[in-house]
Amino acid sequence: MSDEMDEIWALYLDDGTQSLDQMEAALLALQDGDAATAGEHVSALFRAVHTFKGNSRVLGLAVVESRAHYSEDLIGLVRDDGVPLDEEIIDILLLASDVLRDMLEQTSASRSDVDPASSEDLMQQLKSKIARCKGEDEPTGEEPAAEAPAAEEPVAEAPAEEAPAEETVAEAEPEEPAAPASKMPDISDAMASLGDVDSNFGDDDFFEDEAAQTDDLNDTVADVPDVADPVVAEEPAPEPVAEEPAAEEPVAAAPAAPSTPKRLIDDPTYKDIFRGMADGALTKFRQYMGDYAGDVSGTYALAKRQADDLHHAAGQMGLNNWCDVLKLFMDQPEADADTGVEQIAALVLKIEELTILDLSDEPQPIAAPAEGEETFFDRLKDVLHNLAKVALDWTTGDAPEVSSYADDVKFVIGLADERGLVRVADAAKRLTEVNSAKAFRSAELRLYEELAAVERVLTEEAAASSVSPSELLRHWCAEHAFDTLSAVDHALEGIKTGENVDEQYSAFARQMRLVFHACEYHKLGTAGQLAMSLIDLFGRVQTSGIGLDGILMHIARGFIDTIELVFDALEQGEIPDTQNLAILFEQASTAAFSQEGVLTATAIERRLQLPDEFHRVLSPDSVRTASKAIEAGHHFYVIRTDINNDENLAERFLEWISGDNVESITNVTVFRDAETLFDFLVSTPMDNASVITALTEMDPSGKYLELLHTLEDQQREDGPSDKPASKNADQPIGQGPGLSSEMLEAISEVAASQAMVNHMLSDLAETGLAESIEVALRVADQNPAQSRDMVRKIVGDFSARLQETVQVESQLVGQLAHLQEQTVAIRSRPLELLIRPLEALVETLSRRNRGQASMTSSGGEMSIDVTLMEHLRKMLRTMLTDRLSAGDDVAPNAIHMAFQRDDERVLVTIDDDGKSADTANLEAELAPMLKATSAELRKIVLPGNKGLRFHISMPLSMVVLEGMVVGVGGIRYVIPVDTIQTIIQPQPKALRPISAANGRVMLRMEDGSMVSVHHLNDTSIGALKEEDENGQRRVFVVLGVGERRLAIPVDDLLGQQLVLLRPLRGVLRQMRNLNGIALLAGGEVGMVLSTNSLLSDASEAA
Amino acid sequence: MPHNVMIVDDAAMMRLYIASFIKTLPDFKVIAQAGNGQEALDKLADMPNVDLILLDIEMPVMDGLEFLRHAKLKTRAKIVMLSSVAVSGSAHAAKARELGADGVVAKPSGTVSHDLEEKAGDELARVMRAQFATA
Repeated sequence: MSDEMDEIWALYLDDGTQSLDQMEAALLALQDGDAATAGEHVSALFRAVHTFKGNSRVLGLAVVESRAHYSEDLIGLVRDDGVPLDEEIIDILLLASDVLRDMLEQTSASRSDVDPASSEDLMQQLKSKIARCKGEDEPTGEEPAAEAPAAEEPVAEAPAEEAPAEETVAEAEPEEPAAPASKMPDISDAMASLGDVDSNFGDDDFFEDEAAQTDDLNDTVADVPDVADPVVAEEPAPEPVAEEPAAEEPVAAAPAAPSTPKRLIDDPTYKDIFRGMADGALTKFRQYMGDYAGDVSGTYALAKRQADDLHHAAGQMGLNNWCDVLKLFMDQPEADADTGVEQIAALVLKIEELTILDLSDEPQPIAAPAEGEETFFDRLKDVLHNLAKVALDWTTGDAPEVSSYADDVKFVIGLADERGLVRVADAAKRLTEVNSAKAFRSAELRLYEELAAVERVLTEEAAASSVSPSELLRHWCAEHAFDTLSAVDHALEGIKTGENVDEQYSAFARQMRLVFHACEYHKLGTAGQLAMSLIDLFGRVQTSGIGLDGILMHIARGFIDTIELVFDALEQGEIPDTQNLAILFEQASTAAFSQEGVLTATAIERRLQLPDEFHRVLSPDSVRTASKAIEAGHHFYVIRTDINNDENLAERFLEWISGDNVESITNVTVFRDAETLFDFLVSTPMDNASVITALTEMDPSGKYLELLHTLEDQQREDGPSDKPASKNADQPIGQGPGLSSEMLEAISEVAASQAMVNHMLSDLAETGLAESIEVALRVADQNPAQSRDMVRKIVGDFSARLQETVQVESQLVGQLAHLQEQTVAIRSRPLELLIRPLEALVETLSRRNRGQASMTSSGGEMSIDVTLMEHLRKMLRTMLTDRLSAGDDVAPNAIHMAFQRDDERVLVTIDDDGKSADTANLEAELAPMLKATSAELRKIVLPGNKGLRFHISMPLSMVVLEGMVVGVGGIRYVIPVDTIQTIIQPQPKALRPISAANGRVMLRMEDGSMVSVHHLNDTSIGALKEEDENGQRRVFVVLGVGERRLAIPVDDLLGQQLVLLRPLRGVLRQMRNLNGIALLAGGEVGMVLSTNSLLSDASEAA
Repeated sequence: MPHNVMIVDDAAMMRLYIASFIKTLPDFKVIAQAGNGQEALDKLADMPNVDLILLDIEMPVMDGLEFLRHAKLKTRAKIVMLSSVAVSGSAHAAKARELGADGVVAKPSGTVSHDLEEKAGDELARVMRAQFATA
């Protein structure tokens, strides 16, 4: 408790300082004399002093409280009693502000009350001014202390103070400081004082009179129903009083004995509040319609709760019709997506109608008919029937005279007026103001709509009626469905062209509502539901101000086309095909996400590779937020929180995710054993380290907030090398950008070229060359010259066509080579992609174990095949997890990872400064991974047990390499470009046999150095020498790694290619000096040389 | 299950003071605090499980009386108005009752040198409990 008291005193100082600052600021503003804001400043002044007084009182600082209270009283006179604010008041209050500030400092330091003497002058000024403001005699200061403490109170020498002469504010006067802090009154004293006014309140005017005092006390007690509490028994016993009326009952000021209780709906303030609630609920319900398919149970529960809240409010307001409608909705069982949306849509319609009826500013008195009377609707039955006939006359072109139905209209108006149905009367009146069939139909519709709205409110009366305006409305809508659809189409066209777009949206919504009624008439549930969904979707687009996208337009048009066919089929008595409606409904659900240019929930899940628990939990709002974050290039994180039991941490965390820098997208509940955790998906421009730092600041223990995943947009269009790497070491290395549009184009070109080559070759094959030549030769006897010319032409033509084919084929080879390079490139990834998530993993694991380990690396710029990288990732992650979880005394603080690659293997060296530990489990865990990849692992304990080193050597099972393709003896070889030092065509006589080198031939380089020559085929040394001496200049490719070099004579240099190396399998693995094979552009197979092996051979031979 | 309490007062010290006191009551638990009526309404929208609201009157943004009007429609929680003086017969208190406050009680006071649990707020506790004794 002492800790809490320390905190309370600290807050007392803090709150007090703020209050006095506000007091001072308000006084200075008032001194400046801005009349427009004076009221605000006086209110602020009152609140500041009031708060200060209350806090002082709570801590038993009676002297401080009394000064504050008199100040408050003086301000109260200005605020509530019209006393003009003069300079004297401001000066006194400024003085009070200074005095109170001194007191605040003193009391905070001493934690006890102050001596009243030092503020006596202020008290006199306050009392004097208050008295003068009230027109009373000023206190002399010599009057006996009316508020002398009760005799039994052991009072110290506290000077008696006087309370203001009269009650000036709504609250009681301050208790007088009975004594300095030597003994402070406690709550029991304060409560007991209620029954013994004299003991605490010397001012006779504290209550207006004794009766008032008793009433007040009785009120107090009446608030608190008697319970078996010993404290009550000890209190002064007030007379029992009658129970107060319930809160919603008429207040005391209400007219005496009203026949019916006054309803809150008649109070404009409550009506406004309720209208706000109803509007809010409608917005929510519309949102739930969009969300329903995504989360049936969750949305159902939210909709129920919303309805329940509104039901409660409606009950308080006395709106029983609302209660009935809402209760009906709440009593429905949880529905599937289709029915659920339908139910909510129906509720929305009803609430909209009730809003018009009950909450519009127009009074809508509806008096119920006396018992036994014909119902309102039954009385209208014949008239409505007559009016329907008039409509038919209008439609058939027999424009009726208004006088022919004026009486019917007059009857409706009379009946409506009788029941206070102003809108119905207005609608009926419009029937007589028309001059066309269209106008009459419109007026007729309006009348049905108004009557249907009334029917929904007068449910009991409607149920007892033999006519239903709602059914008439639906019938009307079905009858005019084709016109309505045409109007919808027109509105869509208007929206598309952008002319008077708001009007077009309104027209669309209105006409679609009629379509909904028509669907209801035909009992087309899905169609009606789709109509309502489209109204909602278009409404959202209109509100957002973003233009309508093609998809939504397509859905709307598709709906119109389909429903037109459906209505047509129904009119013909056929069974309509409604299958397309279901498809459109599905599309509309998706459009809910994409209408504002955002991605769909599925796309977000895919692009961020969201963990499974986030599957299908993204609401439209979440999708919009995530979409914006993706667009902004933000990072995404999943943070696991265990904040149920720590309110402060929860508050800090929630503040953090609601801050400017972080956007909370959604969260899911995770159950772990008996614990309930929450995983939050957030986006932020902050990088991984900053997020970890922020979490650590909130939760230094690292136990309750954990960065679980780091997610990145997998489809960012940056090139692979610039692409931010995923920092999630748990997440597989992305499979890259996939097929780009350029690649698809290239594939199409290859296919087209291939088809062309095929066609040309077929043509050539069908040419019948032999027959043509034979024909030409037949004339040779008669005309040899002609025959020769003929043969020449035939062969020439054939040859030309062959050449064309070869050209096209060459082109095809080029395209294939390009495509192959692209294909190879997309499988190649920089090691940086692997390293960054591992760095994050090290930090996360270390923090989790209260460490601060970090990882450095080298070789991240190298690229390796994505599959290989994935194997490495798993191994390295396993090793790091094992090392960093080894315990405080063993786990390393620094880790360095070095990557190297030759043309055969990837070598990874992991150094750390942790202690040696038993790694048997780790090695056992790694064993299957090592076996699967033919990798090797070595562990070395660094000297002095100063750390551990692991070597991983993994064969390049499939590696992408830049190779020089050469031809030797008709065979294609691929030499890794990064091992080629130079390619030379040496001067004659550059080859020299070296006897000391077992007769090997050496090549003299231009710098005079000698390089051993290695033959890839059977070319003999003699043949080479002969060529050399004859001045034939052969090409040599000089390879080198470090100091070791080798020259390879080649027949042809065929060019550089990016190739995908395939390992040799089975017995082929035994072939010397080869790493594998590669499929070259053009379809040949190239043998990929192992430079290491060649150089080793050369060294051994030397 | 303890009753869930929300404290609405613009003075942080008062909120802490009352919250500290309520901690000593096993049948109540403070689950939310707000510095004014509007903040309280915002929090209530997401916290339907509040059973009791302890409400100050003089507050900025939205005062206690305006809050009571909203609360009448927006919450089913019991509402006890905290008066900063030792009587509940003020005009504000009467108005609060008229607007639906279920009780009016003085804020605990004068406890500077005493243990909160033992000395303060007996009356407050009694009024709080009384709300549910008749529920």
